[in-house]
Amino acid sequence: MLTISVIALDLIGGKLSFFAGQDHAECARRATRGIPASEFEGADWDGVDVEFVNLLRSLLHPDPYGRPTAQAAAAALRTMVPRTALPAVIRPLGTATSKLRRKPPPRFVEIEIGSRSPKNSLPVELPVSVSSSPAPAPRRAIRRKAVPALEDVLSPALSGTGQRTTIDLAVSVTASTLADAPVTSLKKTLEPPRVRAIRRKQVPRLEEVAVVPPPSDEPSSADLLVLGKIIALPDTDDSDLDEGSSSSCTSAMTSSSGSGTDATPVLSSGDASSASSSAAQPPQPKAPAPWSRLKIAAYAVFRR
Amino acid sequence: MEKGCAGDLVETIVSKTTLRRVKNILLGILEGLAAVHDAGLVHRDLKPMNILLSDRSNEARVLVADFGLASPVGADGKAADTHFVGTAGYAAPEAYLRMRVTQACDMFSVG
Repeated sequence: MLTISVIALDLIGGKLSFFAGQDHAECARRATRGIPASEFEGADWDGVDVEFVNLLRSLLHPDPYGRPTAQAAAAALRTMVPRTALPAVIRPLGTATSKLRRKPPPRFVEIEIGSRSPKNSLPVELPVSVSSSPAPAPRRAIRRKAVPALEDVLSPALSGTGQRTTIDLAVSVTASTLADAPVTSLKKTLEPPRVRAIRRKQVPRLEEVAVVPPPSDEPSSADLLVLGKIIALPDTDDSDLDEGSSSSCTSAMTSSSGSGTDATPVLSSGDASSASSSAAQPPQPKAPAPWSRLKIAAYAVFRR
Repeated sequence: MEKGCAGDLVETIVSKTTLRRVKNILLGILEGLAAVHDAGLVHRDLKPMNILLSDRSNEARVLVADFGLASPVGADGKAADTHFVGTAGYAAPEAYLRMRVTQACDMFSVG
């Protein structure tokens, strides 16, 4: 069979000549003598094209300057290798590119922040703006760096006795913040983008939360922007809340902070959707609600 | 560093693979060698045990390994020393003759 062991001949011959017991002197003698043409004949070479054989013979040329370079040999061999079918991921190229052009829908994740934290509060790192006047623009809220502790922010606002207080909430959440925040529920939904409004029994202190992605035309470290309202109701039963009411808004929210029990949040939408909010049923004046009972639930939009 | 999960070329040789796969493997070796030679090196110890395959498919990636005997080539395209390095049975004739080898000695081992 093959008298000299080189990789290609081994591959075609199916035999490792190196292990066939040839000693160093014999290998040297056969290598320097050159590979005879008879080595490329036999049953193992049936079906092997002549061009490939010629390439191998040129590689085995005794004169090193008679051998092709690696690049030249690769280029020659490339013409002999049949074109393989494209991988499945590339084959439907037209379909794939058309899919890429379509913007994928945002991924919505429902999170609930702070409900199981030690103080039942938001993490203090979250920037919160509280105002009774129209809420600041979202971009301004994102830029806000001086973040007071939530307790300090909410305590004065909730100091009223038996009064309904509306707090505008603008929170920019980064991935690291989310990692630190106690996320008690994480549920994927395929809801349409834009904003969501939440009103549920389990979160009685929350009136609306709207989540919008940070402005794309402005670089921001925020992964999502939570705009919402915390309605700090007096300590009422959950049955006082209207389960079905919900509202939506787009990019900005303003609210009225009232002292009366009929204070209804007013949502000023951008250009797309208008908001309609049905206020919670007037709570019965009771003892002031401790701020620590506030919970925030939000629909978070993760930036891709 | 990439793993050669399918082992070296010895198993492929013994198992008598198809001609198409032989060409694909050789093409991978030659492309790897071209990169090595472009870097100004000569491997000097190409053999089936130093060729690793990423998987057992026909389109497996070929990895050239074991550069322990690799040597840079000088301005004349030759390695500095004239010692016989490599493995008997895979070395080029000029290596047996104790000549300063060039990158062409790797090409002989491929053939």
